[in-house]
Amino acid sequence: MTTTNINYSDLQQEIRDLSKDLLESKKVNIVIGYGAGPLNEKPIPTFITNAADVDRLLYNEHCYHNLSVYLTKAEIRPKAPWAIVVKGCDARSIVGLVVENQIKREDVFTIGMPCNGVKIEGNLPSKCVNCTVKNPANVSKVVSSIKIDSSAIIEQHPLHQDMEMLNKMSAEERFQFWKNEFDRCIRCYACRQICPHCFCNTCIAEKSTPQWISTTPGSRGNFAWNAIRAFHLVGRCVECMECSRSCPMGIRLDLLNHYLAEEVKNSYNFISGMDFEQKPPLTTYNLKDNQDFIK
Amino acid sequence: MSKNKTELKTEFEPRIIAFVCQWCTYTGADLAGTSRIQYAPNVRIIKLPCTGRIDVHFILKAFEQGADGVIVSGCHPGDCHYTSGNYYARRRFEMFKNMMNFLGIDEKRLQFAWVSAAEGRKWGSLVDEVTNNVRALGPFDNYKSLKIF
Ligand code: SF4
Ligand code: SF4
Repeated sequence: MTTTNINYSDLQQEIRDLSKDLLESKKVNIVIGYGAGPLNEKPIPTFITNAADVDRLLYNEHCYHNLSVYLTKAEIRPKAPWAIVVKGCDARSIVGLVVENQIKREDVFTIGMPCNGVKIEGNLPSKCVNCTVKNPANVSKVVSSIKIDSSAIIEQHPLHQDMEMLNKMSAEERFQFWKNEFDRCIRCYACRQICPHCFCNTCIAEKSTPQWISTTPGSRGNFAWNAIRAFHLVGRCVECMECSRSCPMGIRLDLLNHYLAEEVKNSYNFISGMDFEQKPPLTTYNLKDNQDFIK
Repeated sequence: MSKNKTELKTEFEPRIIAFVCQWCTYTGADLAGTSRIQYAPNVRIIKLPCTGRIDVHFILKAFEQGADGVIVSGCHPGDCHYTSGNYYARRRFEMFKNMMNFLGIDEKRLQFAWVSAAEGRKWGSLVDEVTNNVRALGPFDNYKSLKIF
């Protein structure tokens, strides 16, 4: 059945049934999913270890978090094997973590959700604009038999307008734009903490001998921090845009991530998190790579 | 006294930092020297094992410390002392250069090159060219305006 409408209560029930099976049969020790938060309709990340608790799991269009970030956290890692509720985009993170040897593929049971876009504050977020995994790929099981019609192309979205605005600017204007953005950074590192692919135990931002990035939240350190954060994710970022969602200062990290993802696609024909066999582009090379820019 | 000093300061002299690999470009720069090739004295050379070792943090740090332009140079494809360091570097620098451009930094301030140990002359003209380009752009006021506090 091809559809664009999703009956969330059916999906929710299937997650609960599946989670119960997985926990009871001891196939997994923990289910990472969505559950009731302080604002009822907006679920928050929820961890279920007891089959009797599966009814705490919820699912609706507000399940925008990319839960795969938890798998590499010290509290969750030892609980493997895990089951985790993923949308197609989140499944891409899992692929990325496996490819980079952060988790073992056999340790994770992915419960894949068909998805026709999530809602953040009532709007379709930029991560959903170019989504090609509305019917999740590379998951252990896809919940329900519905197939999302993924042929519809979203042409009108603020993401397009903002990218166009930046492309039209002169270098000077772009510099001022980004200076303005980065100047607001308070170096809370929420963007790093929430990113599934920022898993280093010691971040370059905290290295002090020598110190590469000034830790003071001033223009200089902020520019270096934001440039380096984005650069370390080139070819790895799955554009889940959790970083820009969690940024308390509303810095447009999504524009930078999207730009870099497009560059990677154009230069190396690579889209992150789509293939268990493909290495991230900056960890490999091709003898015929472009070098027009090198004298 | 101090007045005289300011009067002496005439034209803007770009400060160029070059990160080069020790096998090809550093030796090439050495050859430029021993061959008495004249080129812009604006460059400060920093020797590293390989272009693959040249982390983009170095480039940002150079700008932070007052560089007006940066050169990154190493062995030609196929000539890397470590076989493939420059191939990895090539991808990294392509992405970094594009990102810097997207962040509004003039591409002329960041030049990548392959200079072999035999190309003393190429090294000289590369430094001249980058120095002239950067001189035309003027001091890197944008980056210098990024204050620590
Ligand atoms: S969008 Fe942000 S949080 Fe998501 S993978 Fe990319 S850098 Fe990480
Ligand atoms: S989340 Fe925003 S304010 Fe916090 S460190 Fe990242 S960019 Fe800066």
